[in-house]
Amino acid sequence: MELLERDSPLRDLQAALREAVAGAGRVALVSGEAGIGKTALIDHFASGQRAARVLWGACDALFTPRPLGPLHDMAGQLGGEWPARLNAGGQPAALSAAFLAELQQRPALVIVEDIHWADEATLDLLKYLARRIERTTALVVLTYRDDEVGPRHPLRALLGDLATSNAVTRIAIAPLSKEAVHTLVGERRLDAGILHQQTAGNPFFVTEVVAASGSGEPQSGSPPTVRDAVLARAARLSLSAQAVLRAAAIIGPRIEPWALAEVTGAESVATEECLHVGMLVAHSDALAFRHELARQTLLDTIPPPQRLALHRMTLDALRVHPATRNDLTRLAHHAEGAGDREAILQFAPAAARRSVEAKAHRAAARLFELALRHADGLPPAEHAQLLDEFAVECDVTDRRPEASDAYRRAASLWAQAGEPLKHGYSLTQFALIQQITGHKAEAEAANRAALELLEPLAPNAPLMYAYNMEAWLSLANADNARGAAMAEKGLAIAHRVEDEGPMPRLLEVAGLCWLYLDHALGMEYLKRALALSLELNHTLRAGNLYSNLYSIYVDFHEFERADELLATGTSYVREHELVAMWALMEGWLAIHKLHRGEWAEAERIAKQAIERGPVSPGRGPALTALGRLRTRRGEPEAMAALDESLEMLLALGFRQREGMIRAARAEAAWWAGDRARTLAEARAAFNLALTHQQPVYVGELAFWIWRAGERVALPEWAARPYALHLAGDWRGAAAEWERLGCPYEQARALADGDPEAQTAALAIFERLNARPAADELRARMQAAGTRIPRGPNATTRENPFGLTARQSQILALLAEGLTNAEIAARLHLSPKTVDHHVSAVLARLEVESREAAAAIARGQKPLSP
Amino acid sequence: MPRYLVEQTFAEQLNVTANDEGARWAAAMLGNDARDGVTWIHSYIAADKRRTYCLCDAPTPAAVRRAAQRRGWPVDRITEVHVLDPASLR
Repeated sequence: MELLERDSPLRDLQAALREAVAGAGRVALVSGEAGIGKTALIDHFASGQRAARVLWGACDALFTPRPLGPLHDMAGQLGGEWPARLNAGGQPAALSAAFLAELQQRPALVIVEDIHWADEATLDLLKYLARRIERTTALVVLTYRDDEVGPRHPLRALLGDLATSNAVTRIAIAPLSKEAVHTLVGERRLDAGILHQQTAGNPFFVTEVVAASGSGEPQSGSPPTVRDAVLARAARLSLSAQAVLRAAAIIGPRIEPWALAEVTGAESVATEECLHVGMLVAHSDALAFRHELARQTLLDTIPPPQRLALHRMTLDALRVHPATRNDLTRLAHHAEGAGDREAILQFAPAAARRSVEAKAHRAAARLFELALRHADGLPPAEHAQLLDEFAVECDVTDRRPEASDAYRRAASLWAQAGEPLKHGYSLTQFALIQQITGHKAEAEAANRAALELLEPLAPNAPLMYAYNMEAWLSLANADNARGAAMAEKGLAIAHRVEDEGPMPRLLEVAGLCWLYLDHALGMEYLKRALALSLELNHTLRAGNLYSNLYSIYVDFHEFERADELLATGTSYVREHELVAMWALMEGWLAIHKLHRGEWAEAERIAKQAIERGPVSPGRGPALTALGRLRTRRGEPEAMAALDESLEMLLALGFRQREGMIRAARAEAAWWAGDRARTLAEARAAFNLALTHQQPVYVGELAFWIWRAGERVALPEWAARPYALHLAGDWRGAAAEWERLGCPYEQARALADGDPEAQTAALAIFERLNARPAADELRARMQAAGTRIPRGPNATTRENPFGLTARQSQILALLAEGLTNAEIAARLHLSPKTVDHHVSAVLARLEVESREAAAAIARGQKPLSP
Repeated sequence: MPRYLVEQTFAEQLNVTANDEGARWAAAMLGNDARDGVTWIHSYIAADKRRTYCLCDAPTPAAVRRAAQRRGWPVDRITEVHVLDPASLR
């Protein structure tokens, strides 16, 4: 078939392949509407090159696609151990790594078609490959229908990932021009202009109409839609051939000849006619429709009774043949089509479990759902088991209400079946989801029922989980003592039942409970939990712990430890693609940066975290950071951000963190000139903070109470800089803040000092652009008759480092954490100019790195290399 | 002439009774089929009255298809068969 108007995309593909073969692997994303000719282009490209071996796979247009379908397609082409490896199932991570290794062996052209239909496991594989593609000598070509990928489509995540990669070429396929349509029409009596308009230049539509037009008959009108064009073409075939097409539509997208023969019986000879006319095409070992659009169209024309019969006959054929009898997803699909309850129950659960193994959770959920639709009449235990497994998949795929409902139903069925352990476990799982979705009372009631059921029995694993849940619920109620007691009970059982699996989780909850009773012990537990999770390769748990520990370090102002953990934690959650954990760390990173005086970075990160959506884990801390930032800069909507942050906290429980938000609100109230409010906010969480022995919260809240004019007694374990400040030692406080690397707080302490200290404070406030604090201090200094340096330019001009005004300006922005590109944008300079200036600054300051220069600018000693 | 087994699934139940009406209906069917050279021998009808297995002699499967289409009957599958009759084996 001649390929019209595809020179440009072909050149792009050829260029990409050259680069790949030369040693730098590439990804090519080929997009376009259905029927635009993506397959034709790729086939032409693949067959026209000799440089690389071709591995071809396609994603199925089925409601529940086969997990790793494309990889299964490639198994035969890959040869060696691959067919066996794929049939054995096994860890997707291992398969991904093995596939990557294949692509490093010799040049390869990997084609995966229709990734808008890709199952989760395939998407994970593609993401994994794309990130590492440059290490291979492969060109991976991915095709998809861009008009079918809306904002919430699962493919969006992969596309977003690829957007930032340098190794990706994007190729959009355009519709045909009028000239091209003219060429296709050839000698036939069709108006190319009208046809071009009607089909919008869609090649498939055009060729269908042309094929349906027969030879030479004038057309009274062309079919208005692709569907009509396809049906018109089919209508020209013999009745038996049409019957074959209908059977093929049901069997497909991939149509094994032996299956088609069995289902069509004596009419299978008509297959030849379908091939001859081009409605079916032959691939290496199977048939297919010329285009998925054609198959769908024909599928829609089959009346329900025939549909049932065809699915039944297909199922009969596929379930006994060695090539297909293990394709459980496909068998489940036909069982569903045939309405065969027994077959559904035979295949759907097994297919679901296979999908779970492959980590294709969405598909697994749908398959369990299919089985459950026909589960009435099953023995209670079997029914309950399906419900439990379904619930797990729903939980993972963000279908929480259904998960909750399934666990509840499972629990009552386990009761019927006389299985108290399973009953108790389902109750605890139900409680967990209820708690997460904000239904505290239901959660507590359910878990209490679980405990009542399980405690009288011999030590058992479900009881362990129930104690764990009880600890978690106590923590949510800020009842840390009870939480710790429950967690210890759970840990005691863990040792009795010799099950290491839940240990990390138990240690984590125990740690979080102990944290506010005995900080050192709590941290001890948490660190043990992290170590054990890493050892047992519990990636989710480890990710959770990294993010929890990081937030605690930031919260307790242990910034050096926070810095250390940030590096390892970030790389861990990134590597294992733990999006939620990263989101949480991101929120706390905003707070971290805020306290370190890197305000531009803090703002950028906070906004990024907030943009992830209303239920993103990092949203709360990000809002708090943003609120503080706005307060300190004198920008509007500070309290609005803090209102939302507080609301979120109160809704979820875990009021242990309330102190931080209240302190931020007190600060906001203070700068809004509302002394009474400042006092109210600070007092609101002061006692709670005392009970939880949170030194930083207690310190800051006490500071605001004191600032608002009331007396307050500080325990001796309160955070040192605050303790010193309230004792009148502003100089000591400032030194402490400087040691911690917190310029704003340092300046706040200096502002209460002698004129020399106040001058230094003012300089810091101005550099940070802390308008309210700078203005207030300047006014105070003026009133006291202290000499004030002449504004920001004066400060930079009288620069002790001997830098020019421009260099000081750039150093200031560098200290806030901006990149050279950002500095260039901010100052309307070229990036090259900024590079020059930065080099000059580093030379003047006699340091090697930006970080060192930034540290000096913030008034700290640079860290030794 | 080959013999074919035709499997059919109906949306509605097939109700035929052995009376005048039934006889007229059968005659019409036979006449219809003859136009394509198809001889309807007999049919087996399942208990739910929605699935039938029809035995007929016809020159080709296409002929069976055409006859069924003319009747307005849906066809699931046409299979060529040979008679295996215990009586005929003795």
